[in-house]
Amino acid sequence: MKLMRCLHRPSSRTVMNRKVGAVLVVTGLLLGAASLWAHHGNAAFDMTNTVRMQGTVTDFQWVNPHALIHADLKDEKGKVANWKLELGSLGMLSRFGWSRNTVKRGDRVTVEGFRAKDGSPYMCLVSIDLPNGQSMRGSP
Amino acid sequence: MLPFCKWLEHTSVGAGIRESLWLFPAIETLHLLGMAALVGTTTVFDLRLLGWMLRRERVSELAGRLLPWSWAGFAVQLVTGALLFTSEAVKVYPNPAFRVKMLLIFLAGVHALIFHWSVYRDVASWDDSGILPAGAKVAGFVSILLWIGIVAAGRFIGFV
Repeated sequence: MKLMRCLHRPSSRTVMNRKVGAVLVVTGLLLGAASLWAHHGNAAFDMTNTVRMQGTVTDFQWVNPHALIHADLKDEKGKVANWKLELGSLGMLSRFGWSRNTVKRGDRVTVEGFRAKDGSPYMCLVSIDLPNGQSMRGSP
Repeated sequence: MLPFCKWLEHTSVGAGIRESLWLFPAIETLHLLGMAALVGTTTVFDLRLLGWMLRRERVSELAGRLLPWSWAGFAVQLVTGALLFTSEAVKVYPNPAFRVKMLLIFLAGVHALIFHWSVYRDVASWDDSGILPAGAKVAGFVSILLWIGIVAAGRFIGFV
């Protein structure tokens, strides 16, 4: 940006071009960001790496705008906690082959997802291995 | 209030919207269209009060032509907003962005009433003059700020 300012004399034309450019960049960023978002952003999650954990489902909520699984999971230190796993919207999930009966209380599962940045037992579910050996996608 | 939210969520309407594959986004779509009607027409009127738009139109005539659409939009917002709230009342009720939004809507209502009972009462005296009373400009400005705040707070419900 600084370089551009040095190279261009601020004639009205380049100011105009810069404005158009700025609008295009912002629009592009918004559209790009929008594709990552479902109902709300993923900013709360650490998207740089996934964690994998095993445990038992305590609750499955087939609800808009995001389905939720609660499960007692063991982390890498061996500590067990009740985790909240956030999934995509019901429309997305049904396209991935989910129904309200895909997961039920008591199921032994292996989950993979993006942890909440604040360190709470909360993650954006990427995939889940079901007791029948099937692996399901959890979010877009 | 929380027991009421719980009850509301468990009504067949709340559960139906929450568990349907398409109802939630369909109602959200209507909520966006209602917002376009409501915020679009109030903003045009506010810009007229500021003297930035449609300056040759009489303020009272614009009010008569625009504000019925604002009210229609508001009715749509009330119904669709209530339905969306019903589907996730327990989660949304304590949400700070939701509370700010409700407060701002209340303030926008109070502001509109004050405007109507004060500046707008003698609209006949400044209706078609190029010079608008300071009160009208302030009212237009405050109203635009309130509606930006309401839209932003609404969008932030999913992010806080």
